[in-house]
Amino acid sequence: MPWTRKRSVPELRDLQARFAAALLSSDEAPAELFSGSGELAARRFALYRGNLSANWDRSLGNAYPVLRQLLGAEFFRGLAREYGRDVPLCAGDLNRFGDRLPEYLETFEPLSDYPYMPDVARLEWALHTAHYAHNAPAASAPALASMDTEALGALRLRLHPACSLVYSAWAVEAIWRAHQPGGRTPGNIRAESRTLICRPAWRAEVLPLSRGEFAALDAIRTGADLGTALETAQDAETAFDPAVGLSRWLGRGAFLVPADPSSA
Amino acid sequence: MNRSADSLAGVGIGLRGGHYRDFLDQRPDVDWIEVHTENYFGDGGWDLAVLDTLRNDYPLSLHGVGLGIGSASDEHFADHLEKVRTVAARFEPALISEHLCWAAVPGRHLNDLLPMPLTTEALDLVCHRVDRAQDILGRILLENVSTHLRFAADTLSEAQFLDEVAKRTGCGVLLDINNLYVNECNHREDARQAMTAIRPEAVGELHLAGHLVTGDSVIDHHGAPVADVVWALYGEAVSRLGRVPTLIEWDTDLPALSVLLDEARKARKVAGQADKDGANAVDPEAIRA
Repeated sequence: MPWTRKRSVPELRDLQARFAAALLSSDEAPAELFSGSGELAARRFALYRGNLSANWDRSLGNAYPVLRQLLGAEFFRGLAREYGRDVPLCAGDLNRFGDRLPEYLETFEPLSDYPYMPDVARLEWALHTAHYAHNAPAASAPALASMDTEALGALRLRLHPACSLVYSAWAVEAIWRAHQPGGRTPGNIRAESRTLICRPAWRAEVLPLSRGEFAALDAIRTGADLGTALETAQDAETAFDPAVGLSRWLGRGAFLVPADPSSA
Repeated sequence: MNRSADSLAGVGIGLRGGHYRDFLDQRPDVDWIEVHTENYFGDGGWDLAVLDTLRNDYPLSLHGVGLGIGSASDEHFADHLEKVRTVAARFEPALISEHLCWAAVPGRHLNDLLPMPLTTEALDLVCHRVDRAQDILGRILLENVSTHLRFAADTLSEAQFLDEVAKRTGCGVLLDINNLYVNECNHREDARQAMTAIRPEAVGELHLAGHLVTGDSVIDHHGAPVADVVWALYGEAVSRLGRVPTLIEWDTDLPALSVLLDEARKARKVAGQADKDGANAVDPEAIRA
């Protein structure tokens, strides 16, 4: 009779809900769900808890290698555990684990004395996502060289999907660079940093930008034509040289190939 | 999707990021490659570019680790399946496989191959999910997993469960020989009995990997050479099933590619001998390469 069976056999949904809840808590394992000795079941359940923490630690460390160096492996593991519990990953793709870490760090009490950490995280997450961005062809310098000045000024470029701009009131670019192989200790960390995250030749990298360059690329990002963007740059930085800037950005694959340059 | 299991034959190895360069430079002699589907969920980047290239030279098996086909919650299933479809459409694999496990509850993905309660309710759910997956992906294989725990509510063995899913849905079974051995150690489930509980015609692929023996449990960490006792089981599997496509898996502490290629050679040798002589003639001493 179905109703008697229902009473004795726990439903799948309930079994999995109890398993998951126990996985996330540090209470005693629900040994009664499992066959065999309760004591052994509890110890074996701990292996699943260990897997979960290890996956979080590994995935977060993969996206935030500099943050891990700054915080130390042990602290970072603890952070990954807190973050994993507080910010549930809603997809079966661990490469996305960590997308909300920068905001999370803003209010993470143990790090309140290190106000630059969220911005270090922002820079690293931008690098991480650049790695997985769409392989669209980038605009090249020769393609734009054939355009006359007027057409070039009216051109509306779009940032390549692998590119993003990161601004910080802290010297996060110097901090990040200090933790690369052969990196040197940064000087004053109370200094603004402006960077373009880009991915020339498949490897995501951090390109430091001048104030003018950042202003131009930010204008392009928000839809300005190239002429307006370059004027914005010169307003922000009198020494800005449009030709040097443009060739530097194009060399890093900063823009998508314009849809139809001649009609721009 | 136009796929034929015939295009996979022989022994393949898992392609991992640490071996991309070796593969690109040397095109090592393996019969096919397998990748974890989720590692290619990105819109682009190096991983996809490498696989775009290698796909031209090797038949490919897409092995999913995140679908959680047995999760009671339906929340993540359709989205994940859609991403698998996108990867499959791009790389046109010869074979697609998933695990008999669950992975998510409402509001949270747990990113692990969690042990499936082996009940009739779970069987109905998994069959329904396999049907949905096969509607979109074409035929898939479902793999037995190793577990540290079995549920008190279980009414079927994992092998019976898998055979029944295959019977009802037409999916295939990916038989992981190491997992059979690990579960024999962890739950006193007879690996040979498990093997015979699955109809030979359902088995479309075999997996081989290393495990780690600890005090409380044997862990299939995929971080060691295949154990002798697992090679012996593999020989028996080939005697029963014939030359089924076989994969060497290595995920933890990835060694030099040559170590995996040696394991692949050994698998060919063991399979060749088992195929010729039949199960009883397989001498574990003789196959120690």
